[in-house]
Amino acid sequence: MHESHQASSSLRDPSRREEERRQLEAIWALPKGWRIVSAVNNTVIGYFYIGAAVLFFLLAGVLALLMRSQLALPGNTLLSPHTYNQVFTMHGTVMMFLFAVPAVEAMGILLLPQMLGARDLPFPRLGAFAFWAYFVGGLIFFGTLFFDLAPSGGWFMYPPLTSSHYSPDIGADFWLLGIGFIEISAIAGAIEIIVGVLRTRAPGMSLDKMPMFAWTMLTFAVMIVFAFPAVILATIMLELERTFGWPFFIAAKGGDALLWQHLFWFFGHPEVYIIFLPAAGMVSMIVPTMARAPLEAHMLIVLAIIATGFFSFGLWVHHMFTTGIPALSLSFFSAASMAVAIPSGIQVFAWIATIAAGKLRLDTPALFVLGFLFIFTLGGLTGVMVAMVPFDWQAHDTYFVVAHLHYVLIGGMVFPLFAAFYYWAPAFSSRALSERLGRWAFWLMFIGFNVAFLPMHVLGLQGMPRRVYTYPAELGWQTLNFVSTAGAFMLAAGVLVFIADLVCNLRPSLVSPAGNVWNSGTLEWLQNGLYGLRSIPHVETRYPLWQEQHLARDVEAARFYLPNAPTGTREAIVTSPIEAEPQYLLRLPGPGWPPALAALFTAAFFMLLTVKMIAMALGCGILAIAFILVWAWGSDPMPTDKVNIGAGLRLPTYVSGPRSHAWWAVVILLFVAGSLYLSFAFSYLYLWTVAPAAWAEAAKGGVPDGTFAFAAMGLLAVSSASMYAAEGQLRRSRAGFGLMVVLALLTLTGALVLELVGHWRSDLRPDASGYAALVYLASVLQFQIVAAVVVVGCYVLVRLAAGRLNSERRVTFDTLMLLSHYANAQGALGVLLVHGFPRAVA
Amino acid sequence: MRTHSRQAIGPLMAFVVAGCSGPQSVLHPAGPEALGLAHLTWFLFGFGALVLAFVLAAAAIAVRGPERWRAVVASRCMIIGAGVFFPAVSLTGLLGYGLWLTRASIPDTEGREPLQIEVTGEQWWWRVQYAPSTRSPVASANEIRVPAGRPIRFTLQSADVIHSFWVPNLAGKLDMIPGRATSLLVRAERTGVFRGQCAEYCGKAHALMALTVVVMTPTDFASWLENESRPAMEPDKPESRRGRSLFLEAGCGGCHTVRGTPAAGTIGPDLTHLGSRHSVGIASAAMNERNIARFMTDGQHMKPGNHMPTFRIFAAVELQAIATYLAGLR
Amino acid sequence: MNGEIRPISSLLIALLGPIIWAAHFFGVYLVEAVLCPAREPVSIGLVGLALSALALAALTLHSARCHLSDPAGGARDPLRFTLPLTLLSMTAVVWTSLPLLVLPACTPGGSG
Repeated sequence: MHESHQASSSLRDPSRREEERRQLEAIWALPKGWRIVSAVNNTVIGYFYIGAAVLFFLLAGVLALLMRSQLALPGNTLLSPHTYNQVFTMHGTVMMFLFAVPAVEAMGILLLPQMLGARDLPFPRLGAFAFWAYFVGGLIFFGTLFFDLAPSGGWFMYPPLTSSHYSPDIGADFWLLGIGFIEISAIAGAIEIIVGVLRTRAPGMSLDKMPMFAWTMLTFAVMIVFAFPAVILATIMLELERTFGWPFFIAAKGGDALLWQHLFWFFGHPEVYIIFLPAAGMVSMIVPTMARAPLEAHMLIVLAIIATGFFSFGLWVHHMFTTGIPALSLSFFSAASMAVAIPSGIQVFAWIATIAAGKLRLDTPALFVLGFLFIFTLGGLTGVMVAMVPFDWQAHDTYFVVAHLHYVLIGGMVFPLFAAFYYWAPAFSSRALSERLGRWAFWLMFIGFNVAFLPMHVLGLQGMPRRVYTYPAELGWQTLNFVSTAGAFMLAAGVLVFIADLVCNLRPSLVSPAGNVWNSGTLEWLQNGLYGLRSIPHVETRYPLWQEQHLARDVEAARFYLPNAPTGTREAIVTSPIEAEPQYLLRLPGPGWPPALAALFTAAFFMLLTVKMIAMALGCGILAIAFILVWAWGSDPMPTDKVNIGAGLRLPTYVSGPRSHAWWAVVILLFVAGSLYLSFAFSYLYLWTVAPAAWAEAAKGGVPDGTFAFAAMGLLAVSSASMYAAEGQLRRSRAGFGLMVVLALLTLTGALVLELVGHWRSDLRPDASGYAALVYLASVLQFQIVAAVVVVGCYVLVRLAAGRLNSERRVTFDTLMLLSHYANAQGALGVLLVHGFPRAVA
Repeated sequence: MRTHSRQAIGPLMAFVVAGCSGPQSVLHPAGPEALGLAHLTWFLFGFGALVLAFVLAAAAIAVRGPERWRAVVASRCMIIGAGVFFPAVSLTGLLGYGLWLTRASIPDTEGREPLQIEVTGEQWWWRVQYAPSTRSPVASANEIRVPAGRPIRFTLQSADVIHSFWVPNLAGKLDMIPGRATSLLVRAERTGVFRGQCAEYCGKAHALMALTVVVMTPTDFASWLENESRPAMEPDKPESRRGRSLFLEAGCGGCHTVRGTPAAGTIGPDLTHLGSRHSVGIASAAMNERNIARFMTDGQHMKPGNHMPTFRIFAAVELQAIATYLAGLR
Repeated sequence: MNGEIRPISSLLIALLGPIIWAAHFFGVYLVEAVLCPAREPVSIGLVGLALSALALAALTLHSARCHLSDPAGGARDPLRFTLPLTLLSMTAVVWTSLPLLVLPACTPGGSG
């Protein structure tokens, strides 16, 4: 079985193998010196990403030490109230947005290709863009602290406190625009991970053989697609309210403060599982190796992960138990919060069972895993406590919740991350980390953490609320606060020992890492060069290095697929999603400046908008788009004949249509856009339940005459038809094709203009009421997608003129087509909602 | 050995009890609502401790236990039993308990007419109004007095941002959200002085937005309310009269109300019976003339960010006179 | 190819359990969220319980069909997720329905 997928060794003489290896090395070479900034290789980007995440972890950790120092004594004056409020806001925001999600995303980027037997991720430049956008944006955002410009509304930014009236300073805008754009980075990463995990696995690695970490990263990415748009919409709305007075959250004008909470927590709850699941995936990789036994109940754990991902979307109101929402509604969310505990229980006992089935070697990674089990279980149990509505009525917004969230986040994510650092360092560094320093780091962190956070459970029940810069001496809270501060410093000492270990021992190496020191069974431990694996293996089991005897030897002897580079460029094999059968050869780009520059100018665009330097912001925005187009221009290479990828397999190098990885990426992006629009539809219907009077009034005279609606629908229909016709014309006439595309773009834009004109002429102004603001918001969202379609449409016409688009080489047109049909559908839904709903409820 | 552990339990219990009591404590209930929540809290702690112990025991056996036990822990039965069945059963029970308690918390005045108190959260103080929908509501601020044994309905609102009304000894918290009114029904069983605090981050001085709740016997409460509904006492000392003139001349009436005088401002707290409250400005500043004067001249240090401007326009004698006047408003 | 696994349909079949749970969950939440402010005299509890019965029936039907047609999984359910996910979804639906039996609708959650 194994042998039939190898090329016969007699065909490959040693000198030819050596030549092929040198060819691979040349193709995958890294840019030298400072030009490494233009690298797009997943290992380099992964390293940068993880480094940046650790940096933000340390920075936010210092903020935590400042907070604990202030709270060590009652009536302390170390930090002024304003500074403290900025510090706790930044601590939460940086930890959640600039450390937790990027760190696990970084581990995915670093590990997944090697774990799946691929040479790189399917969209290397997108990964590079995501990293630079995050890094530059994150640094600027953190820098606001040094200029007294940091936000101080809490990481959750509740209006009306964060409205322009009660937070007139620019800090809130930095949060809204800064974090809003960093979320784009997370979504870009998510798209890449979904396509990577489902389409670029080694041949033969069917889903049931896929490593658990890949399952968790897949779930993580899908959750991001559905959860992040809710908070993106909320940030757009709050920024529009602050800048232009569109009263989404102002009760007096028909808005509602709770609308923000619903949107934010619809994102916020899945967010914590987005953070936890990849960490659980890492534990599922580490435990079998450390226990020297395969993971017990493998498919049951996969099930648990999928169930967790799904159910976590039904928990969000448990952050709003004290808002006066009807008790029956609250209890639904209490029930769902209980439901999510079952999958967690499955995972915990499966890990324990794996340890029991084998014999655990108590090296540093195992210590961190055991620490994780203790801390996370305790956190999960306090989670069950706060999931009970009456208990939460006392515990909500107190230090009890602070304790709970740190137990599940530090226990559930940081400890597994540190286990992962110690575990995978030998695969990416020429030296493993030190066992001795590792033990010191673990014990200091474990004991320090519990000393810091265990007392907080008691403090919360003694009445200490959250987000307070001080407390009076007469309440008797000072002893526990002081003990907690001591614990925090001990935890910090442990982290410092870890940093020392990194400095002393981590020597990043792509070509000669320390190797499989733990004798693990999964593919990322195979010998790797700059080009990844010497040849792409055919996989038959879950633990290839344990269960397929000569795999390592045969991979290195170039006996499998892609021992060379048949097209002379960087390549990866695209396989089918379930059975991992090879489908085509993907040509990948090499290093280049456009992604990093596009990221830089995108960050600049958002930051300049925040400080209201509109002209410069627009300039940077145009430059960013320009660089993205330059980068796109270099993609979509010309189709060639089928190539021989080794082991007797010939594959096409170009695929368009639903099988194409690019098609998949666009479809995922459309799910993001759709989630964003659904969040808008929810907001529209929600405010109707809160302030129905505005809708009743609108039905009487505020909604434009029916002709506008029909005309807009008509234009949208024409747009869709034109795009459909354009597809037909692609084979026949270039002129006809161009004409149809232009018609599609014009009618799409026309529909949007008609909408705006209609509302403006019926004297509706967006700052008049929550209802009016929502009506115009529909057009804002439509403008976003129309702008994208127009830009891509013009780009497609240029490519047509340059001869880089035809009926065979048509991936760019497919992208336009998908975006355009979606834009029409979204526009139609908007028209139906905005014109039809007020009339329907009148 | 046994005597040692028995000896240890005494101080341990004392420590636990001491840690639990307090004027702002969840575990020191002063009414039936808080009592139910305290019982739930102890039950959940017990349940959690047992489950944690079980998980740790299983992990310990897995790591270094005897061969037979490890085989049990490694079995599919264990994973499904402990990971699926046990949570399913125990969480059903917990959910049931939670629902029962939620149902019990639904306002039921038992036929008695509840005392109506309206509390409005402001940045960073509490506007209080007794009997708000009657012809003569009684206004106060930052301190709430209630009779023991009678149901009290708090109607909670916000004048600006989201606040949260929380008196842990009496009940769970309820948010005060602009644009809506929420309602909390509470009964206090024990007399005493309790402390509440705003539990939703509301800006700069959120940490200092505390509340004093005094539970009195019904007779004491009745006479207190009667006194509270009367206009301000006539100042008996000449110094106090001088203080009142200064108070009115300086324009304090623009923000504050003192019933019975021309001062009728509603931007700031009602001061009609200021002197009878336990604290001034912030809950930890005791009611006395010195603190009153301090709040006027150094308010930004006592309560950073508070909306009352500092008044350093008075000479020391004048300041003393005003403080004496206000402290005398009992 | 015989028995070729089609990704999208097998994904939907495997996830139908949680999808039914989601529809039920958002359904009962929506019913109270919309009908309470509108003060409709409909009995929200009964509507909710009807939705629960519907959901449980759908879940039972789905798992029975999947189990009977392909006991070993096969092309329609390659990873054999359907039954466990459906059972978990049923538990979640039952738990979501418990409040409908115990609590009155439209009554604010006021602690104490």
